Amino acid sequence: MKLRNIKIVDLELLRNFKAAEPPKRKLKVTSVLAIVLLLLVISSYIYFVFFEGDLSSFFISINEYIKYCIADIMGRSNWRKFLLFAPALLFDTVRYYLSNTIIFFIVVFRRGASYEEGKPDFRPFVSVILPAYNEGVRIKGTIDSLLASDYNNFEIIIVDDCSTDMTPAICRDYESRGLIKFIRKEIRGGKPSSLNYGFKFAKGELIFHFDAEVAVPPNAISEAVKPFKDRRVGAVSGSLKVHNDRKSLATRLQAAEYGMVIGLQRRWLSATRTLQIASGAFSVFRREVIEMSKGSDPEHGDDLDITLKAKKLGCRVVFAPRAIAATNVPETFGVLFRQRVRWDKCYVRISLRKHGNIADVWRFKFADFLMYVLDIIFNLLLLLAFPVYIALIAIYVPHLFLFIAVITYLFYTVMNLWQFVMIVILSDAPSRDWVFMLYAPVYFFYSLFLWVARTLAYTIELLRLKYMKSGFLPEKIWDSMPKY
Amino acid sequence: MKNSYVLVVDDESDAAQLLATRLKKFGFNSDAVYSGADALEHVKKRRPDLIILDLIMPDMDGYKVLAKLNANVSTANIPIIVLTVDSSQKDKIKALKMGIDDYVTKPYDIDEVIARIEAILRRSKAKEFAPREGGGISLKDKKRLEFLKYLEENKIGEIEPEYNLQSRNGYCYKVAADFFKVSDFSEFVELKHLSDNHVLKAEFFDKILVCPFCFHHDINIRETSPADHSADISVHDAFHHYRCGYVGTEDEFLQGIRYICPKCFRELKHVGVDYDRPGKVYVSNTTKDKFIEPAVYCQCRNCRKFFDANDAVRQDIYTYVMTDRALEVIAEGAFTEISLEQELTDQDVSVYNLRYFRARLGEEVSRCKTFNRHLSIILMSINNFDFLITNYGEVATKRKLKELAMMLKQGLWSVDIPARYDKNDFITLLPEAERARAESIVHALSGKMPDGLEVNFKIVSFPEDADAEETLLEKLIKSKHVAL
Repeated sequence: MKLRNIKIVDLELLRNFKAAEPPKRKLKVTSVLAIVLLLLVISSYIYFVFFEGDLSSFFISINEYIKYCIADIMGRSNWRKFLLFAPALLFDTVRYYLSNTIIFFIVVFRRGASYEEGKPDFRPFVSVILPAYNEGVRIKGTIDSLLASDYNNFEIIIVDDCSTDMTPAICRDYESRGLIKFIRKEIRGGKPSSLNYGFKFAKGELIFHFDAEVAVPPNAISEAVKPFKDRRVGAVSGSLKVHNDRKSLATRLQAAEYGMVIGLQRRWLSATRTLQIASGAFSVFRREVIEMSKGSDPEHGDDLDITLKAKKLGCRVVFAPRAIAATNVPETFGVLFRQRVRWDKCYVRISLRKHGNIADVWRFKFADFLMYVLDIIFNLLLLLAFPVYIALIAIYVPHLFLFIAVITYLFYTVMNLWQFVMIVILSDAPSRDWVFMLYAPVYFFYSLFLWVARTLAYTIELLRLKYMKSGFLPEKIWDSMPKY
Repeated sequence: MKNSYVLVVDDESDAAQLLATRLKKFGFNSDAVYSGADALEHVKKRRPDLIILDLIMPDMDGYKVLAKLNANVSTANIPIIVLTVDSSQKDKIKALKMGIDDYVTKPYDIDEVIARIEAILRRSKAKEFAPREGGGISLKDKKRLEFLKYLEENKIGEIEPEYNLQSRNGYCYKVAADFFKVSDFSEFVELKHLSDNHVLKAEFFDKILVCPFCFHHDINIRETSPADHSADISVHDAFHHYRCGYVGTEDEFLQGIRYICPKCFRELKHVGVDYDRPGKVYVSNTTKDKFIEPAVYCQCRNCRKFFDANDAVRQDIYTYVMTDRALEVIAEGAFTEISLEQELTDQDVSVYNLRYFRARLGEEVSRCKTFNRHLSIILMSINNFDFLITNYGEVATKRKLKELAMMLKQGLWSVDIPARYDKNDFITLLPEAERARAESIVHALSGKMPDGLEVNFKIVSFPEDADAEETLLEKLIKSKHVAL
């Protein structure tokens, strides 16, 4: 006899349920043939009309152009030589390539000797909070992957943010079997409020925040718990992998980017104690951190916000490379562009404006101050100076423009290839990640694409042109929250 | 039940002695012996009403003792409870196959053991009183016949349950109680027996929850905290402040007569504009524990024991109505064997019941498939059934239904199968009939409808519309009405 009002779920119906998906677009044989034919026509036109059927003149002219450019550059002073290649040498070499190489060698030589040994009995009770809004059948996979975890001392709290689809039905089914705790909100309040609501019922020492669509391998929770043996650690950022990386070119490139940014860059930031963000898709906080910061604030980048709050409380933010969660990323470049603009705006709004006082050396740590200043220089000023650089090159040395572009492209490609080699060596699944190396020639253009998104986002946010609302929060909350 | 003699057999003499003394405290006579051989000797001297037997003993284990007891006719039907540390499924099944009545796993709860002993003794007592089979009409059946005659003479068509707080489950049947006064429950048992024999028809009246230990109806159901089952809990509204995203209970916000947010110290003014109440939070007043849903917990007012609401036993209380068969039985002067036709016929309208229809439909469909034959089904539904019930009453409506069923039967051949589908639907299976015959039957029927009945028809036929049993019925329900 059940006095509680539990909805009976038709499991057969759920199993057969498939969301209506648009049919896949495939590159058809005819279109490929058409493109090849077009290229043939164009190349033969150039071959016969420009070079009169004699290709050797083309190579001779290229050879002469290169000789001319090198003579021109060598004739300049050292300072000017440097300036011509400034961004490649100054902008990314220092910031990414050098730091990544250093951390790579540190990790390789210190492999095994780390905090992960000793005190194996550290298994505190943890609470996993999973905010869900119209997740449909995807949430089933997430719950199943969490339940398959090898960590046994945890509870799952699912906060349904007033979904209008079958999410509550699926969750009620799990709840009636006693596997999860399920909270249904009657009014929609957005993801941050769901996290806060779930925290009210959480009894764990550590609070896990997951996106409702991630897939978690069995060891993720126990790996993410390990760094908390150190009392000074207040937040842990999990490692993210791309789940749908075989879907399209955009997701493949993003998979490579996640490998680079999360696999290498975050290790470096974590080692130098300057990690600023624990991604909202998989992050862990000590209970006290959330209690003292009184929960997440409602805005884009609530994960960045709460991590900075943890830093301000004096906690360390650590990256756990072996705690992996696979997440879904945008499949088209259009959606990706909008997502990146949204993320990059958060940096200016939250890191620079809202938590700008983190640069106060007397109140907070020196490392935070240093990171703040370096971020402004490398992330903001050099980025905004890049178009000026292009313009100067184009105006003053237009004849060298092509040469510099090609040299820069080759330099970036070689460096990216080196990055990917490091990722594959450090990776836990090299057989899956070696494909990244093939993307190295294209990756330069992808980073240009990201640069465009970033410049746009910074310009909008610095000039306060537009405050972007989205479906992330309901309208009434956008209206009533403070705008930094 | 008390004063029963219980024998405890266990090789650990302390444990056996302890159990024996505890049983004595609860009012049983009991003795303890410490080996299998002793137990067999003891049984010869004084026959116990029940034996509690340990499975694992050094010289002669429990299985051997069981085998010896079963071999002797005089000891074969002594009820046995097996006491074992071993909780593996295999052993339990083996023991159960050897004819034990119940098992208790060590470490046991004494209350549980007592409850099990009482239940088994109750059962074995009931077995002794049961009438001997064969040999003319038994004393019990004589009593039942007298009861039925009494009902007929006094024109009591329905035996309704009455409230009676003195009785164990809060109800009694006064008429029956006068006849069958043996123990508290005997009238329920007798009426159940009569309804199983189709002499009386059981109609649902009420359902009650009774204590699983003493089967008393007087239980106190209350909502408690799931952690410590304390009933001292209260419910608060959860508040969600839009501006800062804080979620807390009402008493966190309430200061004097105003609501002040504990995170950003602003006053909440209008619900829906700057804050809302997305749900409820239960708080235990003793431990300040917050939980999503209270556990429903019960206390029996008779035996003072606590139990979970899910463990409470559900009992259905019926109103018993005389059937046509009762008159036959009275005329015959004995309980005749119930005929197959009676078993398969709907009691109210004397057409077949749905069970028979289903069975025949499966048969007919498979026959039609193999021999390439035809089949049709007519669904006849009464639209204004609720109107009839409210305006003419149940008896008159039943008469109308009977009339309709008679008409339906007149138009059919003897191989056709008319059945009752629902309270207001009749379904008819016409083997070997094509759609044309079904339509002609429908038209003939609709011409001579009794007054006040609004009836419509649906037809489906095999193999034109569907070619499987289930799809056939689905099609039938979805199909359009036949135009008349």
